[in-house]
Amino acid sequence: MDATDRKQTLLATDYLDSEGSAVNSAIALANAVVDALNTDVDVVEVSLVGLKGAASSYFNVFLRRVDEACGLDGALEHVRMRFGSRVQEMMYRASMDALKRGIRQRDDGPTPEPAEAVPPKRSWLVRLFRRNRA
Amino acid sequence: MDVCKIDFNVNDDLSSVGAFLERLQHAFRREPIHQVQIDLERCQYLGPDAVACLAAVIAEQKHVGRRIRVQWPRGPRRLLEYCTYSGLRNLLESGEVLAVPWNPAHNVLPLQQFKKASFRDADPVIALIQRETSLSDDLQEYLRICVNEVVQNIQDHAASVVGGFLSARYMAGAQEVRVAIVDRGKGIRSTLSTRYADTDDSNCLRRVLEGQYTAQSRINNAGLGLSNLRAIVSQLNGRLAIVAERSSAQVVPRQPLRYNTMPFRFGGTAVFFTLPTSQLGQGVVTIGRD
Repeated sequence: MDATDRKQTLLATDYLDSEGSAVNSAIALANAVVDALNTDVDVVEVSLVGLKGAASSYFNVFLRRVDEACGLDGALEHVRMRFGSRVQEMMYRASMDALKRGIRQRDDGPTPEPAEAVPPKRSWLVRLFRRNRA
Repeated sequence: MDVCKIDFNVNDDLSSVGAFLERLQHAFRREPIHQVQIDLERCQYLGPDAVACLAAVIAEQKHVGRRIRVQWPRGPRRLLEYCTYSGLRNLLESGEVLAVPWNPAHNVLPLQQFKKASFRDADPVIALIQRETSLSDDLQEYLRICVNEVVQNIQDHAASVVGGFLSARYMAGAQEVRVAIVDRGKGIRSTLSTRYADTDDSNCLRRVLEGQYTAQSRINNAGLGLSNLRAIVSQLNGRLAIVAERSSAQVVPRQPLRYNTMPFRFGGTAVFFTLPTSQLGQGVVTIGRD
């Protein structure tokens, strides 16, 4: 991105659902991002400044919608996020990681479960010792 | 008429609340629908954990047409006032969560009932604390996220006919806020059983708290809600307890996550957390996997 890039800024607070639903707000913001990506702008800046209490569902819905519409990696090359706080950024990154893991699993098949730790077998000497102590 | 005798103090800790829930479960398990009296006469302490549990159970039982009578505590005066200002008395007498005036002598948030999740669900909790002490912007945001994660989970998964109930109290002496959010929905295990085979209660709780799995039943799930809550609470030196059907989990400062099997089955999910309001700076909390 350079100084000549055409940029459109979207404020997350402009897309808040009137009843305060995080899911509907995220859908509205994602749709606006997708619409903006379909125009001739080079960069879509999404400002989350002023958005309060966005839990993981908000970011999950937002990212999934963008992924469904344009593919996450391609879309994010043209999307710049501006966070209102550090915690917001962490929530966003955690959702992003989870979504990418989900995409990988969908493409590669489920990751096998880690094997449960099996306690080592006690030797006959230890068993004998414990029995005698009991 | 069956009597559910609560002849002990229901402190805001897992052992107390566990015993309380067990008595409630026992009283309401009988069919056909009958009348139950909840006898609080000898109880001398109820906190937000007990109020939220009681509210959820009562709302559910009233919904199915069961009649409930209450023998209120004899005292102390502070408890009698708490029963009023927490919204419990209104709920038991009218069957509804009604607006209760705030009393400055009690740092109590009147009972909230959620049927839909909203960004604003945590605002009353923050307003409650702000009356007493100022909160940094960060702590406000952490609190909002903690509440919103649980409430959103209830909306997405619980399928509870009466929704969820939140009760909160600010403890000025300890400088901490105690929040309890309880629903009587289908529980974590049944939510996850459609996707995972190894669904005993403690396994389910372990995995949702450790961020290892997700219901992914709707578009907004990534299985992060309770693990985010756990991350925030533990890094702020808070306490967290969750009761989900036959198992419970506990986060206490400087100790590993503990899981226990409950001697009864609690239908639904109860989440209790306590956050200290005295500490917090930038960058204390890390959310997400390493």
